[in-house]
Amino acid sequence: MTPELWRRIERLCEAALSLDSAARIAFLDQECGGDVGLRREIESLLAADAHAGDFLESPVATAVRAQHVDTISNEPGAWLPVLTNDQTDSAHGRIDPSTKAAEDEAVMGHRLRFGPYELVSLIGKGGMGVVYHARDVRLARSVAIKFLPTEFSENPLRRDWLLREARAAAQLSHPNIVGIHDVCVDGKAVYVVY
Amino acid sequence: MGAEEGRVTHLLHAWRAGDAAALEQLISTVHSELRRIAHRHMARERTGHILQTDALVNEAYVRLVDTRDVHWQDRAHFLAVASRVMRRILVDAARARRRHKRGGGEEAILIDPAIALAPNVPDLLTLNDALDTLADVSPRKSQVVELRFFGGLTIEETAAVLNVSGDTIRRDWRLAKAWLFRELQRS
Repeated sequence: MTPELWRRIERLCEAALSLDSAARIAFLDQECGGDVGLRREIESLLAADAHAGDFLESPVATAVRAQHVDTISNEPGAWLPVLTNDQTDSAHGRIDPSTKAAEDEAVMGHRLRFGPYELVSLIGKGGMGVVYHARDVRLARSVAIKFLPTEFSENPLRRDWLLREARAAAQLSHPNIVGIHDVCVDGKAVYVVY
Repeated sequence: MGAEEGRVTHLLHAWRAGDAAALEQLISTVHSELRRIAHRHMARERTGHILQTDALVNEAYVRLVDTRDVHWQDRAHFLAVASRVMRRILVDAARARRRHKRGGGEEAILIDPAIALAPNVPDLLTLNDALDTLADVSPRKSQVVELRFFGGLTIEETAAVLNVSGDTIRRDWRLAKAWLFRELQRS
């Protein structure tokens, strides 16, 4: 492809992308005339744009790390505002809590230790997962661990959304927002530590 | 100001002033630092923790550049260098992984837990080749993707690096993504 042709394709594509679909057809009729090859090229790029979704939207992940944010709230239920059903539902469709919660218990049921965290007792269950009281054995202190529905570990988009949310939340420091201590993906288990 | 911070800040200034050798030294310094940071994180935690490139790049920035007295353009240029280095490291690692299948050399270990977590990136090597092809016809679009995807730069940071408006970057980014998406589907 010559640079001149590419520049023409670029210009027409960018103009077409700023139009709605009806206006695009009229625009391409006018601009491409009888040039079938040009028209096909532009339409295939417009189709790719429509299907690209989250493609490349998250920077590539590279390695492993722990985020040690030194704020854990002792208030019961303080973890709730961090991730809510509303946020996930609007992002990628609904999770069905009744079936997912059962699956999650099956996933977690046979393990008491996740990384440095030992599960102590069940605190509660909800649509967004299961929360345990746990102990960080390295720092010898209590933490709350929320295991996300398996939907999160099986769906890369959801998993990535969670990690972005956790990273964003880890930047925050406010008395009414519980600090995120850690976020981990361990096989099928995806969990956030507060 | 520490000696290393002073040196990197000086190299950034020299590069902005047109010194190509300064860029080579910057790349080499940033490369070592990024790998050192990643390995230290790896050593600390065995499984499950995610490090996005933007976190890694920002940590390198804080370590290597004296942030108390730095021009915003220095930051933008540092992020550009770091994005390029990041791309090299990741592509080298993907090649190493392909050669050794799983559990090969050091680089294969560095990359293994992370790439599995990146959404919709089935093949980094194919993406890398497609970016090179894109650079032939539209160098800036290719660079936008390098900065955004490998360096984790925001639209605004990318605009500062390339010295164009945010709207130009948004248009570049959208069309570049569509083009790459199509290339990767074809391959």
